[in-house]
Amino acid sequence: MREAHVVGAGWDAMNPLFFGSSDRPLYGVYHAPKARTGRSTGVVLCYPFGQEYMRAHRAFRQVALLLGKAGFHVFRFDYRGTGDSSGDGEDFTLASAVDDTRHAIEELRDMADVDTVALFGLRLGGSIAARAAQEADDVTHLVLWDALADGAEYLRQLRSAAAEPNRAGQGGTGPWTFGVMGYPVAPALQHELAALQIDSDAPTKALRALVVSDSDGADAQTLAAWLGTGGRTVDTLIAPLPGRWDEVDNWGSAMIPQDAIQSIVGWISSEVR
Amino acid sequence: MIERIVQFGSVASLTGVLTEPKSGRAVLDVPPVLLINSGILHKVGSCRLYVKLARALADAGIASLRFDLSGLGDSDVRKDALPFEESAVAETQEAMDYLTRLRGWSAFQLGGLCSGADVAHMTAVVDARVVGMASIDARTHVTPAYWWHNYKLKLLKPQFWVRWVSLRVGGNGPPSLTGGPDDSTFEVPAYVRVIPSRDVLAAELRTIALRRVNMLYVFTDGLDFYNHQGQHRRAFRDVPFGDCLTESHLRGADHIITDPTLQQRAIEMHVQWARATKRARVSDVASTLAASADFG
Repeated sequence: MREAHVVGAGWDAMNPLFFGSSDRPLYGVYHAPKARTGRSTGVVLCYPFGQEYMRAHRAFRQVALLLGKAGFHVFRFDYRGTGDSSGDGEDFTLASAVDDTRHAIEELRDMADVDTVALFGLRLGGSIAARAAQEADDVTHLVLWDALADGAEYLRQLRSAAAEPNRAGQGGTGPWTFGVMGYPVAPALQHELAALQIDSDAPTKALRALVVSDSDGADAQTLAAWLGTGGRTVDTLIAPLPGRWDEVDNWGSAMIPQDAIQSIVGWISSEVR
Repeated sequence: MIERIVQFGSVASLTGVLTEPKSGRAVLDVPPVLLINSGILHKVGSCRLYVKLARALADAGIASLRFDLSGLGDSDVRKDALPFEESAVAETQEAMDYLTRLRGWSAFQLGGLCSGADVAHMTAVVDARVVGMASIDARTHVTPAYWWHNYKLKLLKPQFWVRWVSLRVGGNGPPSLTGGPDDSTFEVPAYVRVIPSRDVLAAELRTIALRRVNMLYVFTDGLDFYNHQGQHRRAFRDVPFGDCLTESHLRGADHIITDPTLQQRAIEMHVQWARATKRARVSDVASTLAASADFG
């Protein structure tokens, strides 16, 4: 089950499609370049998880549109169990998200005929992008925005924000699925997050990286050091946020940190060919 | 269940996901459901509500379309300057037009939360193809019973009277902890929710009720103008709802229904209600209008 519709060349033209296996399709949106720059590297965007996904969705749309204007082929997609992709929320795991990211990279390479890609990820999406880049020869650049280096700390934050564990029909001693602002965190994901220490992973093969962070915190420092393994060049950018990515407010507002977005798009435009 | 991406729209390219039951599983006399954005949340819905609802409807044999209004989610921005209240209705009608061309469907149910419920209401007022309307936290009005429910417990608490006295002598209440959407880095819905006067809303509801549109109103505890089961029907006791109105107070639920158990209950309620909406209702319109004098 895959349907791609390419619409007109309007400025905002977005091309949504299902991709991946027909029994577990993933939803993605392809943004064609709006300028003939001859770029041979595409950009795949990796969303964060849960409420952060909803709050950042509009910022991702803007990043994609701006990168398209800068001449890039761009692809953003929903991991399985999230957004419009197949699966239930409990199906979302780090491993499956990394796998989905690999499929998204292949999809963009096939669709846009680009040889290499840059990965952009926010929060947990940054961690997913970093892992997807580890064994990939076709990922040349990584942009990690407020990405998580310490999964155990993130899990602790999720637990503290969680509603009561959902133990219905679940025997044994746990762990059980718990919900954070309406999004389930399944035992498999909890296990993965508890074990996630990005600097214990194998170094990424990406040639260049940008680490963007709200403050010069531990996660940013760890990520920069890890990405710089072997003498690779890592740029860093401090971009204070006006709020929290996981916030739920009375207006259902989205957060669009314009300065950070402009800086990120500027970096990608100048560093990625 | 089969999901496919669709794009339609004459002024802006609108994107949606059409979810249909597998071949042979469709309940043919139940109209499809259109799910309308709440605020600026894209078609996935708060806490993925619309995705789960669409798939539950398909499992029950009912098709649905969740789509993004212009400028939201994966839909283009309109190039004209039509205000949201008009463009949202026009685009919902375009979605119905599209499904008529695609599948031959002629009657529809609309569903939405908050501003999505408002758009469903505004569309139902002007478009007779709407035979069902499921709203979560729709616009309603307070009643004397609302005030009774609001104050009956507070009156017994000393803190209430301390605050009441302090306000009367010029003191300020506790400072607001929310700053408000005044920063350019936040994008909030362009739609400012203004609740029409009771009489205006009653007249519109009367128009809908006289067409015998099947209505489901679910209210959470996330509104500051609803607090007890039956308030909506009482607030509009002059509207001839008859058996077309189902009202449910989803106690304990916040506005975006983050509790999975309560969200599941809302989904089940919607599916059960949607199955009861028949295409035949649209043919009842003439006879209903003829009998409208009975409602005075």
